[in-house]
Amino acid sequence: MAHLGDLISALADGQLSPADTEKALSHVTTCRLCARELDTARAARRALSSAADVVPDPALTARLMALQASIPPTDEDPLRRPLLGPDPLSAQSWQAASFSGSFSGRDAFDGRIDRPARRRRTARITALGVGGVGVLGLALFTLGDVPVVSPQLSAQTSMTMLGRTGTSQAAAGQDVLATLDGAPGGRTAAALDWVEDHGWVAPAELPDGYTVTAMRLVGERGQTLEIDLTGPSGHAVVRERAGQLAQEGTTTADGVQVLATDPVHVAWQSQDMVVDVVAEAPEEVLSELVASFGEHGYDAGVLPRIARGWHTVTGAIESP
Amino acid sequence: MPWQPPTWEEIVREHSARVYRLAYRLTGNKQDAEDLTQETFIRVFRSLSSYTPGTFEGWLHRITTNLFLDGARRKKRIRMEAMGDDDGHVADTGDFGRPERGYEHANLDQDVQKALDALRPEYRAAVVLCDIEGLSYEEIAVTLGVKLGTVRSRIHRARAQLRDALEHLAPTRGGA
Repeated sequence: MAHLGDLISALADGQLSPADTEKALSHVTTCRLCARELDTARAARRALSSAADVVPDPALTARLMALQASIPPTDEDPLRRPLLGPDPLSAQSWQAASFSGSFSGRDAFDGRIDRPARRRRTARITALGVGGVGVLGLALFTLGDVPVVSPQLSAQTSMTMLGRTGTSQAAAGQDVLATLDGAPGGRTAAALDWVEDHGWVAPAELPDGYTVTAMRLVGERGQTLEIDLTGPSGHAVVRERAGQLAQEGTTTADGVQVLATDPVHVAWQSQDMVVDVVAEAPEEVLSELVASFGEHGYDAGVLPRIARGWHTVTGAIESP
Repeated sequence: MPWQPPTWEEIVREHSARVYRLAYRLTGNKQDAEDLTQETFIRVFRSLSSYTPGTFEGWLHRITTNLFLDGARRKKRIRMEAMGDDDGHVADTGDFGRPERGYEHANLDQDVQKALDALRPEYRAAVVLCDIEGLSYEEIAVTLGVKLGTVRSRIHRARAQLRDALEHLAPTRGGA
């Protein structure tokens, strides 16, 4: 047998077939040159694989997380669509031609909040892991100490929010609901009490038949509260975070912003909180839900204003 | 239960360390590794529609390596054009191994990285995928889009050069 040549590396890597391995090894036992080469290959291999691991900077991870906020979603959300795509390993699939889809991430509530509001919130739970919501995201403007929250204006966000209601998903964030006591029937009341006790805005009363099916603190510091509601006419997701609602998009005179219409996604300011709701429920139910949050506000006049605002909003929805 | 697409957070959490490690070994410095990692994830983000479960790692390897090789080719062109203006550029092997970047990962075996950086990008990619990522030759062939024999010869040559470089850089390490 001739010298092994580049089979040496394959031999060192265990990449030869059993028969070839045997042939090669029997050659090595009689050929000093190839034996030395094999040692060389093994030494180089060892040197590389023993190099210490390198770990990404947390800031990099945060930037990667934030990609979902910085790349505008396109018309369809591939993650919510049956898988029909080409095999990713096929040669061309990652290359330019197929970059048509986009992805509207789960926590695209990207109003980024770098500083908590001044109001004390005892329940802000820290260290929820790397999975921060909008740790970096779209622009942050501050007015005094209050960060401006800019809910993402996209139907995809809304669909994504709705798509993950309930507790079954591998939802990010800390599950609050699971920590609450209470009989299965009393879960909702306990949840709403928790919301109020911990400084968030609680609805005075949920629309008929609606219950809290999941409640999570999302974000690096648990800065977003997400409440999933399920009722006879569909799901709704309520999110809250401290801050000042950015004045952008379609805003009614009364401060209710329409972020999307199908499904309906609205946001408004309630005290020092920005609340947004995505729902697939009919208007009366939504209206009731929105109003029930407003009623809790400190501003006694907020209910009628929101109610008025809502009619303006629904008017806009009906005639897009 | 039907397959649930992963969330972006899950994707980033699960794969960013691996992509970064590969990127670091390929580029040889933190800045370029971060840029490459980010570029890789942007590609992933935009083309998630073609993702099917089970092949994510292979897909990531492929994107990372090919972006790196594209970049290396571009850089080479730029260096060629810059020749004559600045001798430093010519002598430099790229951005890799600049002294001010030498100690970014204190725990990293500097000699190994330097030796890697001295390899041609194609050789470096093959040997990194093999020795650091633990891919089989077949997987490397698919990742790089080359024949199995090419993988074998690239790895073999890379090893030989690595060995020379490591002996040169660290004489006490020599021997086998």
